Amino acid sequence: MSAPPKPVPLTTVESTETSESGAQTLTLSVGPQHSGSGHMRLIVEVDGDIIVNVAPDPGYVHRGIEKIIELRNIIKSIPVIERPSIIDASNLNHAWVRSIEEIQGVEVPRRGQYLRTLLNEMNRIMSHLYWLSIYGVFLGHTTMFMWPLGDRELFIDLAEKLTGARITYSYLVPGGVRRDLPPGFAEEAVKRTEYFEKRLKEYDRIFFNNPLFTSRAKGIGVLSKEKAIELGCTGPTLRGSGVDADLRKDEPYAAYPELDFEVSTRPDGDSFSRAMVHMDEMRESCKIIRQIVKKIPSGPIRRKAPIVLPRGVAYGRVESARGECSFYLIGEGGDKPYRARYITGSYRNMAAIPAVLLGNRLADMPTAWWSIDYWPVEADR
Amino acid sequence: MSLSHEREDALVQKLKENFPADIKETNIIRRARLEVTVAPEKIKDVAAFLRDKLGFDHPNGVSAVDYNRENRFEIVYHISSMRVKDMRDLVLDLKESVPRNAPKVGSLVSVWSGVENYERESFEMFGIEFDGHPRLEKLFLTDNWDGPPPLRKDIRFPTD
Amino acid sequence: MAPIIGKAKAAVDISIAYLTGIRHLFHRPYTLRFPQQRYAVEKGYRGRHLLHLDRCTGCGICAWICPEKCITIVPRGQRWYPQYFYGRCCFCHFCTDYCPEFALEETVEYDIAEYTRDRLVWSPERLSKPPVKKDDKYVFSVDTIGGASQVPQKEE
Ligand code: SF4
Ligand code: SF4
Repeated sequence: MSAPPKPVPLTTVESTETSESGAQTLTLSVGPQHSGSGHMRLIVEVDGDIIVNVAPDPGYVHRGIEKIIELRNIIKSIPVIERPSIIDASNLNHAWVRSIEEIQGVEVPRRGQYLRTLLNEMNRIMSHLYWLSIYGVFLGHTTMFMWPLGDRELFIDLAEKLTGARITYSYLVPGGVRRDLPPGFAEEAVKRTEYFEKRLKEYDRIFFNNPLFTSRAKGIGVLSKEKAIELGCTGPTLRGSGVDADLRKDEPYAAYPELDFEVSTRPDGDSFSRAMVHMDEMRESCKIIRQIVKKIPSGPIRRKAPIVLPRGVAYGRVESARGECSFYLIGEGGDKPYRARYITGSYRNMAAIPAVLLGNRLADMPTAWWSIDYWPVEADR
Repeated sequence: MSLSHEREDALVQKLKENFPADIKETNIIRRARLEVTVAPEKIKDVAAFLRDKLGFDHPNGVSAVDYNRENRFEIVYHISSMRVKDMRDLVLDLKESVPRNAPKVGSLVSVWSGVENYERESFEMFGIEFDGHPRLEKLFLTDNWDGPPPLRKDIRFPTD
Repeated sequence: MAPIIGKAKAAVDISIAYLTGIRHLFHRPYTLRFPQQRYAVEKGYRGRHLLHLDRCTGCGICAWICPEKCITIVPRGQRWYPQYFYGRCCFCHFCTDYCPEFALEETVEYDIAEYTRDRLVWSPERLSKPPVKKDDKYVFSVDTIGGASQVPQKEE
């Protein structure tokens, strides 16, 4: 049953081989150092500097969260579930509480739904900003590394006012949310999103219109529409290939059916398209935040939900920053789930890494690879 | 959002017409969530039919569940459709059961190439073998892991 | 003709990028020099806990709900109180939420790092002391013209 162990290479250059055409290829091991977002390795085979074969080798940050959840109470699981992607904590948390509520049959009050949506959208911006700053440093653009990390503070600070924590909120619980809006939040949110939209224009000027970026990103790492669908890609990777799939529109949950926003897609499927989808989503999220603080209804924020998980099956999914995050949850009546399958956006987009990199030059690897927004910790869980 | 199950009923109807003997059980969990249990020998045909005729072209994931009291594994393919726009909210769970002592099933990589990583994970975490998988190796576990498949129910950890 | 236009456009775009960057040389900084300049958090921030000894009944619900198992219930004379090990705490504050007697409270004290591991164990007595007030507070503020930066907190 167990496959024979592969020798673990200790040097960077693994081997040189001769392919059928007579050309010599070289196998390189990219990683597993911390490449900006967690430890993972890509085993890349190059012919000259053209990538001819890629095998992702994840698992350096695997924690067995599915087993941990099986051994824990459904409330106590919430901090663990946030850990795979702490920059996108509330979206992952949302998928969990959504699948629990589906089995329990608990309806969340409308104010609670709006507050959930509010934090989700702030989290989406924060996550995209983090992605953008790493993208900047991958391309050697230090300003683009500093600015998004600084502007993340706008929303971290806002989320701190709302939930009391800066990144790992544990804010969504079955039945609703834990805290109500603090006074003065709405004005502050409007002020900050408006300021942030101005900053996005500056990002465009310094990075996205900059030939130093566009010449390295346009036409690099093309993922066709058919391929993206077949590989099961999701989130910005899928939308960057021209598929207008977004769970916020396709399966409206929480307060999304009442909000007005657009799904941004780009038809080309190259690194530039995927990057621009992220930018467009941040703009849309700003609009959504302003709509929420204007429209939020009054009423209770939380309804009593049992602490046990009844017998039943649910497949709860939400659109997280990196794509669809879903839980296949099986309850058997106790306070622990029988099985909780945790599928995150990065895990699904892992299949796209070889497809995106093949045929490109080794020097284009950072541009193409990081445009997928692959977060190793989230993929390993 | 309507609460009727017409769409799901129609899908079940179509599947039952085409595979009268192989669809063991169907279950509509709620609107847009559908479970179909098929015989393991025929899962490839059913999967190809779902992809080509009903438009389910987007694999969402594969889960393996260990029912050790009933002495079986269940493998669940979560699939959805991107091609058919008003079916995008629908997730179909295509299930098959294998006995726990001989866990060997056919791989569906030839139908949906995206399930490759998920099947590899089921292989290492549950010890289920997928026939016809192009690269049935460990994905997350270290290469020199020689313990039992860690997500099986009979493996206990000293927590809680 | 087209390549010349393309090159000219690239030159313009690069110049715009540089000018945008240069403009920000005159921006106030986003960062603080931490131990000297301290960031002010608002009430409701989930820092370390404050235990009200008079209200706590020693029921142990906080220890049960704690996901990281960092609470142990220890005896003090006739009564039992929670003792915290902050080396494990993830500051989820489920313990505060679930305490039936409202004996726990969040405080704004966030810098509780210590030099040794045993100093991270907080006895009920230590938990019951209100946080020390620290001065030199800065807040993160956004104004539409000057942009975002850390500014000294206004006195109320
Ligand atoms: S702090 Fe609250 S929950 Fe904990 S033992 Fe005291 S009364 Fe019980
Ligand atoms: S804040 Fe969370 S982790 Fe810390 S003691 Fe309370 S329940 Fe435990």
